[in-house]
Amino acid sequence: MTFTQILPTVSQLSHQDKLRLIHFLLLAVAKEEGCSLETSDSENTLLEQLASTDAIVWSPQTDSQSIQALSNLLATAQEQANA
Amino acid sequence: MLNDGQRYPFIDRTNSTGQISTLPYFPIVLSNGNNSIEVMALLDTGASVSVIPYEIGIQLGAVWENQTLIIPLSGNLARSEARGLVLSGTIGKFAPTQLVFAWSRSTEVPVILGHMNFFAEFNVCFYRHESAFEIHPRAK
Repeated sequence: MTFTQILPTVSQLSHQDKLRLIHFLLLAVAKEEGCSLETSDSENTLLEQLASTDAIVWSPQTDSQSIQALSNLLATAQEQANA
Repeated sequence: MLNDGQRYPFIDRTNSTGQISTLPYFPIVLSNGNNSIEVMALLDTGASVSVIPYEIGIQLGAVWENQTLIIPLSGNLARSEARGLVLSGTIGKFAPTQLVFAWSRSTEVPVILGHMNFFAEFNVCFYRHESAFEIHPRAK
């Protein structure tokens, strides 16, 4: 099969399948040149775990002045508790 | 392994889309005067400050208008005002410890224990391969 024969079929592919074809060709060409771009099973597993992680990341931060203010508030409460 | 620690298992939490996360939640009793409540708190080593949601402060008898120290929070809590609040926290068999929180107007946030001042008062060892962690009061 030649390029001109396959072109009409390729043009009928959906947008997603065209992207899959590009990905397939990229990996195939890289493999022909002795370069593997495919990720390992363990990498795929980690990527799948990452994808399934809950999008909510709390880890709240505040500025240094507020940290100091909270420290002062705590110190005052501790003084009152010890009085 | 350190001695005299309180050991807890990691907890599987399922979010609204059915996905499961394994997280270091553990029970802590928070007190404000004569009011006490036991809550599940999330250890968050990435948090610079500890946070409690609005309803927990209310249940503990705290008055929003009386807390005048405004704490600006970043990230997905930035839209909710937060104010400084000191509570007493009791973990397992350990003596009560005064903990300072950013009391958030948010009702969605869990109780979060961060560096100020939970990790200044307690050492924590994570044994993730055993799906467990241990909490130890700092030496005084």
